[in-house]
Amino acid sequence: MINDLKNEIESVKDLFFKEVRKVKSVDKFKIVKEQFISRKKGFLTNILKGLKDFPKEDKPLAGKLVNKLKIQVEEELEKLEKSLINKKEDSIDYSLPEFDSPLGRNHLLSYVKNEVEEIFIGMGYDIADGPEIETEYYNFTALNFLEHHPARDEQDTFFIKNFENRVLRTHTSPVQVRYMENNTPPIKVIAPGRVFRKDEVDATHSPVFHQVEGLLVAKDINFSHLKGTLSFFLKSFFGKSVDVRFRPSFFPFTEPSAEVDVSCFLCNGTDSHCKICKGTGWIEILGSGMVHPEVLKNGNIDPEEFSGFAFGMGIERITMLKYGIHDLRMFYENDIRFLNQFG
Amino acid sequence: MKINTKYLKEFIKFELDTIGLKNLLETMGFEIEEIVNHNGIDVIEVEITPNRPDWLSHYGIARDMYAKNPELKLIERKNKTQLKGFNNDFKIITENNDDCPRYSGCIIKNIKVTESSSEIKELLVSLGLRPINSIVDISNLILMTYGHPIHIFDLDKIKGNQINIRRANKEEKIKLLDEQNIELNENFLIIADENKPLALAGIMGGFDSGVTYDTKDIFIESAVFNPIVVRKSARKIGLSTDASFRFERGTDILCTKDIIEKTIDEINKSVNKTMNVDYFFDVFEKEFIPQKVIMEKTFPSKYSGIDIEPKESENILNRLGFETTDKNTYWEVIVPSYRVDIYGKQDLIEEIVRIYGYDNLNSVLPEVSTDKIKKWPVRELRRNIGQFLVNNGAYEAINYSFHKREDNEIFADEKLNIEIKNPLGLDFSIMRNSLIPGVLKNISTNINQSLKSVFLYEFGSIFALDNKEILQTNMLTIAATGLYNKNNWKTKDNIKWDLFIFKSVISKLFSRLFINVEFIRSDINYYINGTEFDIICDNIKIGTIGILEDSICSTYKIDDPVFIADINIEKVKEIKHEFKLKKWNVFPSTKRDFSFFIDKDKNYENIKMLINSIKPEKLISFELFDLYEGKGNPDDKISLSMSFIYQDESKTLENNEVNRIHDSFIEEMIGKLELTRR
Ligand SMILES: [Zn+2]
Repeated sequence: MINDLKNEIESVKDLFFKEVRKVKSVDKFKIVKEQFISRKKGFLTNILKGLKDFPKEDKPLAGKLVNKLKIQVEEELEKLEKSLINKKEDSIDYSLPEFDSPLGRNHLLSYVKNEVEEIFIGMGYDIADGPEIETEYYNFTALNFLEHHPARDEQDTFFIKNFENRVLRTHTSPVQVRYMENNTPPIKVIAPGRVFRKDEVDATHSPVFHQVEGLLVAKDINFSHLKGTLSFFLKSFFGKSVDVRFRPSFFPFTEPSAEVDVSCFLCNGTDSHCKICKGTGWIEILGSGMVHPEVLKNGNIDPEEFSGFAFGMGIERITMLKYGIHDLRMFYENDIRFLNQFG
Repeated sequence: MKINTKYLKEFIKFELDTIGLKNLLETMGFEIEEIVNHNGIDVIEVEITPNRPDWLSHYGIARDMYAKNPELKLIERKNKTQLKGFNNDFKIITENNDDCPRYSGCIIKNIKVTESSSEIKELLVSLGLRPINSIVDISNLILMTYGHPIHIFDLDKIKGNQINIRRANKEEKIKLLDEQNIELNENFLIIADENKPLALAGIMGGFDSGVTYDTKDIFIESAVFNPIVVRKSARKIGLSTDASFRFERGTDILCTKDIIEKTIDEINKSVNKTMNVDYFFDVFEKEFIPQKVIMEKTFPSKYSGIDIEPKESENILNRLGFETTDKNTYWEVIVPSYRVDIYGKQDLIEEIVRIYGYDNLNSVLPEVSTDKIKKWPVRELRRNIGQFLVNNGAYEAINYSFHKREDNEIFADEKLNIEIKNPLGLDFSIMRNSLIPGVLKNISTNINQSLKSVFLYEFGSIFALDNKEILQTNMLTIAATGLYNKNNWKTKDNIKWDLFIFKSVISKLFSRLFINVEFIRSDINYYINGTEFDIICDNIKIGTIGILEDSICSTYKIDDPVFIADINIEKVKEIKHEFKLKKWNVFPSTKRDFSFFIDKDKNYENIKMLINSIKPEKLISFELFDLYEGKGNPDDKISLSMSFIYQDESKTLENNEVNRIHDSFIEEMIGKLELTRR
């Protein structure tokens, strides 16, 4: 009988302290108080009522035990009530606004460059760079641009005063030859960087822009490896659902060469007035091809033993397509209303 | 190049509509510019890559369409005229075979020059050409049909019964068909009679020898000129003609006679009778050796990654006009004379895959790994710096690499400028020698947008002449102006950027990189006097910090002070920090304070330097915690309060030991800096 009582007291005590810990408001406090020490149906009242059924000799001990619990409960409730009342007295309106803490942004072009780099780092590529002011040798000759061939006209070139044969590099491709000169196959490298073309500034032209070059040279590399690599990259960058198309093209430093398109991620070819693909369903993204044997030779690599592929893409171009930017000039105005949207 | 879809059908039979044709051309490698409708006929404008001059004609395109799809029937026109060389008193004299490897010419007399038929005129107009007269129009028609430029002279204007293909003399001049007068020299290849230039070879005919309605007798030229000579001359006079465009890219040396026959056929057709040929001669002295390529039969599959049967590859090459000889494991491939772009077996692969279809390429990830250890210190540095600055409120800017002269002038002598020979304009004429003007322009842009505060940084290359070489340096410039922190309901005051806040941010940036820097007073002319510091790490200057001169700010239309840190990333990347756990001191430290008056003209740097030179034992750090100027101080004095922390690595310091060290150290400071205790 006495043991049953002890158990009951213990479980009521446990329940009480469990409930008390949850109390954060006066309302809740009232409920808990009612629950335990209400005159009509509180747990404690119920136990006290039960005492009358105890044998006479056990009554004093039982009464003592119950009383002890009652005191504990009352003290705890009193303490809790006080702390709740005090809390209310110096309460603060924490819904007042937080403060503007200045936050900047990386430039969108840096962000995208990083996005591209990380995809290729994941595939095990190295990252390299070369000088922005190049020799004509690395910019053209080593890349199989014959000296008097019209292919050189395609890239309107800035020349440097007082320096024979120095140009602002028109593409990142010179890094291909520089890297081959200093490394032996297998080679896997990308080269992001700044390039220059003599174009007047407008919404789609800029005398300064950025490219990422890619180069892979190893044994038995073929044209289908190029397609596999670029498909993987383009799906990673633009989204899994884009399709990739190769079209024949020409670059002096690749043979065969391919222009690479992705399927229009805006309209998927369903909108004949689509702003991006103009209804063709395809968007031109980058140029690529198998490294021309002359270029391998210029990089001290034997084209009979090794083969490779190369590709180059404009960072501004892929950024504009992916992030819906329609005017190239925005990248270089550095207006914070633009900068704070990305990066 | 414009393709008249109706005219194209005279050379190849196809059922495709214009969109179908466009798609086919795209898979063949044409870049479609636009499609316009000219009087009911679709004209497709295509851009042709410089390696494919054989595509610069309707027949050339038809020939390639046939190779792509043999079900389309190629329509060959058999020449009615069959010429055989015969001499009379007229002569063609070639000075140098390299300049002009082949020259075919013929004379037709008693011709009546009229207007062309409306059919020919319409065709030419649809292709963007202006009809002139029946003879000139035929030369243009031949060009657009077969791609080989011909020129037709008025025979009466050719004196001395001879054509000379020679370099011009310095004294000679020519008035071209476009009425432009050109002073000639030995770099120009000309067509001349016995004494005067008649035409610029491969570029444009002369005004005086052109065919007009008065012309009776004509001389037809069909020749091949050296591409480099044509290109150099055309560039020299800034002219690009349909003829020079094709000669520069390379023409078919075997076609010149055939082209003259086709021209005569056209003339006969236009006058509706067979004209008598009065003279025909073909100067073709150096034997033409066609390009030969050896290709293993396994190579097409191996290089493309597609399974192509050798027979299929061979068929494709044959359809393209290549002759193949089977040599068991390889082919000997003879390149047709009109394919001036084919030299090696890789070129043949492009042809095979192009015809087989780029769409049939497989998509395979190469399994290639390298043992190159990949570490990119500058990338890591940029990432850490960028993250830090962005979290502290800075925006990254990217500017052009070009300056105008005045931008560069601020930072270095103009003798060190790297200038662009052919700039887009004066504002873009010099390679930047500092990133500061760029960020100042950006600040100005944003202030115009009524922004109260601008905090920017840029990573980029700057350029200068160094020992007669071009030096490219990777820099980081950080700039701040206006408000550092805007007021709010709790902190009522705006906090403006000042040099102390700015220095703190920069100092924290270097802490982030585990680089210990000191700011040492310096003398830099573009910063306000007294605000300029060198940023020093291990006695090496890695940058500067200061407040920009007002006059510079106002040049860029900025009113508020601009705080600049200009950091040389090449130097920063050399600084190495080794991460290795160091034991920390477990014994309690003891603090002593010292307050004193000091002359106003003694700056804090002197105190710092003195403490560092005295180096009291057990002193591990010191700090300025109060500064008071004004009321209550002796004249010209300021009051400073500093605290000094002492600690021993191996024991708890006794009070009297600290006192002994501290007192003698303070005595020394008082003596050397003429301080007074407060
Ligand atoms: Zn679309």
